[in-house]
Amino acid sequence: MADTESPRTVAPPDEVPLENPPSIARQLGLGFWVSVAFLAVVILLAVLAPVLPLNEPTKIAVGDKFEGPRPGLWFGADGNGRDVFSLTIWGSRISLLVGLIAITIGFVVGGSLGIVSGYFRGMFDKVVSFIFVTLLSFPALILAILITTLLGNTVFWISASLGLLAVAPVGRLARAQTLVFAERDFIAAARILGASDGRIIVKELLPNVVIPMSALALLGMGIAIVAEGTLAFLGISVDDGLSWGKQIAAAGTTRVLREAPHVALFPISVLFLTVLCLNYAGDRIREVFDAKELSL
Amino acid sequence: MALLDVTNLAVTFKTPKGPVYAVSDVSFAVGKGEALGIVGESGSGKSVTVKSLMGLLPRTAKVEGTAVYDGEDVFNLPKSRRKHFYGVDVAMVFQNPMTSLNPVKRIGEQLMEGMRFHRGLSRADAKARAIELLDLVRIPDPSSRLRQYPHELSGGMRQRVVIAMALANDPALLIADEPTTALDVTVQRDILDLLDSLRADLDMALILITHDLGVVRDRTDNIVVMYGGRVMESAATEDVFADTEHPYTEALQSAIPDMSMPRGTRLDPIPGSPPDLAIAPRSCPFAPRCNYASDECHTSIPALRAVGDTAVDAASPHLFACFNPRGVAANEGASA
Amino acid sequence: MVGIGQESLREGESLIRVENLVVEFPGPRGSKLQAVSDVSFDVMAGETLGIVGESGCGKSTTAKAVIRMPPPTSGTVRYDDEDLAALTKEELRSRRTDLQMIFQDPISALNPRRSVWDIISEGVEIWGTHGVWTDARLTELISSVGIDPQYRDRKPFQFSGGQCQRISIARALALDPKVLICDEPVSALDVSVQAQILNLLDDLKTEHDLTMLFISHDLAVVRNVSDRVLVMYLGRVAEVGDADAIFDNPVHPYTQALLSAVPGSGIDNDGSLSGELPSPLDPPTGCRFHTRCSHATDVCKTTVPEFRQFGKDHWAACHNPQGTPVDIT
Repeated sequence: MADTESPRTVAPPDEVPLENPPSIARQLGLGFWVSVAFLAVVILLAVLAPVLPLNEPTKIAVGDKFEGPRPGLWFGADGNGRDVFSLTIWGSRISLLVGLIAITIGFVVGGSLGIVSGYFRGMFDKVVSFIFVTLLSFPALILAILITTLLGNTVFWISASLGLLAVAPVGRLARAQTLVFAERDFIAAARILGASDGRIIVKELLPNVVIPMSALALLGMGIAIVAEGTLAFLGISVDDGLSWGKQIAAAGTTRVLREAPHVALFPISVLFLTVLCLNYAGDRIREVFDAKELSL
Repeated sequence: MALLDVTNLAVTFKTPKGPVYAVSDVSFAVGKGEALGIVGESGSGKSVTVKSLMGLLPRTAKVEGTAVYDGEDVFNLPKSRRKHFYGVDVAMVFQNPMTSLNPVKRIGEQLMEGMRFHRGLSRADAKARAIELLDLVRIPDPSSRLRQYPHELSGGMRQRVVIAMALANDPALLIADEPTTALDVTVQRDILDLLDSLRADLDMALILITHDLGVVRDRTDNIVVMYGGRVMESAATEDVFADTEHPYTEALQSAIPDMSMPRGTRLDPIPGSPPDLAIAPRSCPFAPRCNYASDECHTSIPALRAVGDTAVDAASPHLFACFNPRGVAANEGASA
Repeated sequence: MVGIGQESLREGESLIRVENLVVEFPGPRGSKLQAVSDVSFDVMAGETLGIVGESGCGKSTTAKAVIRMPPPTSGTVRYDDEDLAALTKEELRSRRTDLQMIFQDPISALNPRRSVWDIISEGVEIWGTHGVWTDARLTELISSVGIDPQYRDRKPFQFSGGQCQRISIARALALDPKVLICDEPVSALDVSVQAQILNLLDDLKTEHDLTMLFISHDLAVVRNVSDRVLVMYLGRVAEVGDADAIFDNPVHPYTQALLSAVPGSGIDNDGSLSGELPSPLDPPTGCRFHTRCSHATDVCKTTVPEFRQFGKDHWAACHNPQGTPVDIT
């Protein structure tokens, strides 16, 4: 405390910062948590499928052909009398896994390329931006078909091809956000303090860029799950094992849809609700954090 | 008879966190051809006040009180009248000229648009008028400017164009909201001088909104000093400076450095920050930062009262809202 | 300057000595925008140098070039008798602790996702405490800038603009800098808060023995804080010297016009600025101010004026100064 003659400036002015805002959990709201709860149930069922008392999903004639839903056979039976409920849960394992791997690839590869190119600019940025534009211009389905045909339609390569499609959108968002924040004076302040580039990226940029990115990641995971279904419709799906896409594609014939719509309807509903919850949760995250940014 | 008479204006915003009392109990009048300065910092309610007059507030705002313009109730104009009220009778100039101009349209088109809409002028007439207006706001070589885009002009020139647009339909009242804050000092003076001379030449009333007392000092007839959404002091300009009554007005003058102060002069700051408008006003908004606050300042809202014998209905009564005035009113023993 | 030259540089130990500084930015269509053209000045330890001028005159760029943000195109910046350009990246990084800066927009200057404590202790995190910067001392620093340490875990958006500027000041001081660059530190703040920050800077300058570069467009503020003043126009220096000499007795027509433009300055200036600020992409020849100067003569259009001395510490670059040059040898 320097100047005793004018204590008023140095002593804390009688000023109190705003109260802490309601916790993020509260701000995200009920809808968000309902979505998260639904996703948790879906994921839990998928993970626990081997130990749950389910009918063997491949076992035929568990019920009658196209039998409707009844207790014990909640989603009814398909054309081979297989348990649709069991098929849906076992199918979720691969669908969710594909979504998760795809978006992880998109998030990590796209995100780091976007942030690094947006931060350093220059030649590297030009190259990366060109790659993003190229990826976006390439017909998405053809790219996925190409990769799976050439490298095999295993879970990994299907996920990887979908992940590759996510790289450009995620990367461009990360780059755009990085450009916005790199302009802010706190980045300059960090550099003046002597922070290294790595430290600036991790400590100053990442916390700001990761929020909009994770909102997009949730949306992207939904898109990847739907895309897996689309590929299955085109006959490209995991070589062995079940997935929602495979299941819906099998049930998606005119005859089945007409005679026993439940065979397609149940997996479609679960897929739809899962993607809806992912999208809604992503949207809420974006809204809550955007609003906070605006209040600055 | 005042051109614009605002009485007991109050504006409340509904927010998810509860109401925000942006403006409370604000009254002022502007006569024909007069200049009024509204002075205040951010959160004082000065901008909200004029936005309410211009019909520019969002739907979440609740406006109470009356504003009478030349016999018309501004807050209840019929739709057909509204269309030509703003832009013809009353026009406004904003702080940032770039946001008032469309970046992809030529200056000429933007100038002519309003005239053709409000007055149905032909293209040729509108163009002639546009050149006349640019000349009026002292833009050199006006006819060639018509073909330029806003980004080709400097900040000061842009603000002149915005002023020209506002003048297009000979408004009787021009509201300028911090018209020079985004500009350099050298340009600031030119723009203020321009507004001043336009007011005299066109017999137009002017409301000049600013955070800087120095800006309104030599250019307005009356001043309203606002703080926390309320009027602190309102009087003829010379009275405000010759006999400052409100501690806030006084503090505003002494808190900022002045060219006449020798270097290193210790400033006399106002402690704390502007008030939180989310709290319903129950006391003088300035009391927490005031050096002269007494107990009653924290418990009740001081009413506006007049200095000495300047009657409240005089042309420009010297009004202030304070229990502990600093000027001549302090010696009147009238703080009853 | 609006000439060039080093006549105003003083003998003796300067903490910062800038010679022939040039900063260029890439302009549209491959052109070069010279934001700072051949500027020289020096700052003694403990001094406050005010840099004034209209927007676009290069005042911020000049000050930032001192800390190599961005590095100057040419010219030398010597800090503590060391050429900063000659340092390696690592050496430069370690000098950064000596030269800190506060910014115009206190909101933009603080990371919205970090707490006050994280922001202020960042420098210490990077450089280590050296046994000096204990938590207790950081806490003391926080309260010395007027922030109650009990709120150290709050985020910037919970504070007012004035308080954010205080946090920004504390961050800059946490590394015990020798030099503080203040880039329009009060112009984004409310009138009633500006004086708080100016007084705080004044206190801290004494307490921490700071040398300051103070950039502002507000001449009254500059007058209040500066020992010396550098008046810039279009990337060059018009007038430089002791603050009182320049404010009480300006000799350059540009300085005079600038001073007379201050509201309530009382100066009724006949030579108010005419015309537009020329484009920095294509600055006028000779004295860059000649296009707007009411005293300009033919020589101003062709010849860059040299510095001449008008007092003990008072230099101006003008062919037609509004005062008499003196010869002090």
